[in-house]
Amino acid sequence: MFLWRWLHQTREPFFGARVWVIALIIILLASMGYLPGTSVDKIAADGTWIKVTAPMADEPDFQVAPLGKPEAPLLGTVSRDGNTITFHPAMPLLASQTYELRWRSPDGKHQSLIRQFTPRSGITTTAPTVQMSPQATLPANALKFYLHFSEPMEQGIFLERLRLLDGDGKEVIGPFRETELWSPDGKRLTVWFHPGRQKTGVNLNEDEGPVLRANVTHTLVIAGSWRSARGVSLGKDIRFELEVGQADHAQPSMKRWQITAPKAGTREPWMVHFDEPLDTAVITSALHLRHAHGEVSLGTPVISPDGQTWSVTPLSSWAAGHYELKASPDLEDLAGNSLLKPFEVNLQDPSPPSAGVFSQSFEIH
Amino acid sequence: MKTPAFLLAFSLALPLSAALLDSPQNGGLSLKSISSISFGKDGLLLVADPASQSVIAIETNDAGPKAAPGKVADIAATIAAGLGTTAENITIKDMAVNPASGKVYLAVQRRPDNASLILTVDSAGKVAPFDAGKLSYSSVTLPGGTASKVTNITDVAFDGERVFATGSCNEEFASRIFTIPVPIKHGSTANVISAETYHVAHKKWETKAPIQSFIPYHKGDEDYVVGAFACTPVAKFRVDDIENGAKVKGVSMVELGSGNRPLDLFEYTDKSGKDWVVVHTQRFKDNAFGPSKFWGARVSLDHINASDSEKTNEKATWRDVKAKTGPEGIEIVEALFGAVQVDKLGDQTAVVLRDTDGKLSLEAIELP
Repeated sequence: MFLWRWLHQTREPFFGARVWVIALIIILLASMGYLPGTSVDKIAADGTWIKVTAPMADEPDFQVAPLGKPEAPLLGTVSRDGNTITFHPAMPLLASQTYELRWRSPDGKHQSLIRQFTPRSGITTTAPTVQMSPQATLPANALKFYLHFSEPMEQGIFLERLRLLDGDGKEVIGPFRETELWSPDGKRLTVWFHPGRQKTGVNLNEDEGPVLRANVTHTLVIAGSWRSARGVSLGKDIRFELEVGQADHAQPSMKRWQITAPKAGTREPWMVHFDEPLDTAVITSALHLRHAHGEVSLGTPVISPDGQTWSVTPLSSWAAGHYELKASPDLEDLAGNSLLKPFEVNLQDPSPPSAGVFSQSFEIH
Repeated sequence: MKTPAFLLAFSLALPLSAALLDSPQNGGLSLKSISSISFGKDGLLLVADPASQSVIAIETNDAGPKAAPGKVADIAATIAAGLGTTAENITIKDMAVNPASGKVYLAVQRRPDNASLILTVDSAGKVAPFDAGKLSYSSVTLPGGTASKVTNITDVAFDGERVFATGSCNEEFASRIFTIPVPIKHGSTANVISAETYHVAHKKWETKAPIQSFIPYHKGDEDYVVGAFACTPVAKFRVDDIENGAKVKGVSMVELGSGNRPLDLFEYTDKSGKDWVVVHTQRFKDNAFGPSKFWGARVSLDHINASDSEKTNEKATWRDVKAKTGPEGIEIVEALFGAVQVDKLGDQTAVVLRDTDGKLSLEAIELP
């Protein structure tokens, strides 16, 4: 009544200002949850908290649950500041999921809000894509390959999403190692063929034979139901043909690499053609080019899809002089044979692996 | 996961006031991923976080009193509901029992967003999120190889004097043991040892196979890591006085049979006073026996202690894969059939997460 009389006092020049003051008071009270039947809520863009400001009972029994499942509230912590409740779910809210927020008002009645969580990045339905490397003929005793996804994928189910078919289209049972190995960004999966079957002489190899058969084209089938971490599936099964050659028990040798050194004063690429396909994931970090004055500033190296060629251009023109290309002794081929030693070493064998070559020198003019 | 009883007794003999953490951070911990969890003494929780290539030691302040966890039927459904999803969208990646309180800690990952967290189950069977946000912790980096980072941490454990972890890089099929001195200094880098093992079934020495699970182990003044490998040799590595970067040669004592992947190890003493190491595994071939691909065997410490060349490596003891017992000192543990996760609770008790017709239940069991 006081506000009503104050508003209708006859000084017309201040009438509009009074309306604004009252509106601001109402907004302020509503935002603090003091007006019955009003509430204000906010959800963090990353889904890690929800705030609700509304008239609350002393024991408001605040909970957040997926819509239609009030009997299954989310785990999390609730904190209260006056009429503002902050709920931190144990795990972030799921994108696109609709939640019901429930609490008791001071009169003991249940109140609720229904909200869908939309993350900061928005909701997109673009399907992820996948590529396989190396795109090369695999030796029958190959150890692993890589799957490169366009975005992070859901984890914990890769064995259920991958199938290997033999040359007759029949599924190979137990072809992969169970350990799940994602790159830190969650986009590259390292898939190991089962080592117990790929190594000669191990029980599984003798009992069941190797996973891959030489001179047979196998097929890797990636299930279209595999979802990205955003919840969007690949959509349809994706198939990659795996050409399989003879088993490879020989080490790669730097002596056999074809190395094309550039001319001084140019920015031509320094090209290395390996004697066989090497592990594409480690080539870049395993090769180092040094000038007589130290490390050379290089651009991003380019590795051919088959893992057999590495090339790199300098950030500025090549200087004339003495260069050394150094390789990590651990650099491996597709069967795990490294520059240092073959994958399968019988240490009881009196003939030790041959000493490797790990660097080569060049003069460029 | 596991801390042997004799190691706990050893560590409890140390002054309780001795700090386990050096220069810890207070609050603000955010775990990127979790592959393995384990307990040290005084409620010290060790977490392997492969996404950050680190082991994190957290003072939980969960010091008891000790009580066995309550049975929880269909625990995956309970957990999933609390995370806003359904049971098929979560993976319980590891389980550890706090020996100080009996409380069960579960490392859980949700799909499709891959969010990870740790949950606890108390003596009433109540499931609750473990809030590490205000606790003290130290984070230690695991050094990678020449070409890549460590992104696979298979196991982590505490022996009273050091923290051990095992792991490898994604691109490498190799065996590494990491050691972290106690007190655990925040921001430090672990020492690394390369492990070489004789594979009994393989009849060869090799450096490539990674340790899947392990326990620290003392014999007299000698410190060992007893590890289990896929297909399934049990080997020990002497690790006292070993320098950073060194290679250590393992001694294989037992071969449990091919087609199995070890999941957990722990040691216990039975009612008669006999010491055993339990190796809990998952069979990836067809079942040879029993109702589940998940099974466990106990191996007498006499086999683990074997150092005689007549009983190791080429002449290691092979389990009789066609029988439930044999040779002497190797026995199938019936109570572990179906156990997806297992950890020691007390002298003759363990906690198992058991798969029955696709549903997981948490329960305490008596060990034989």
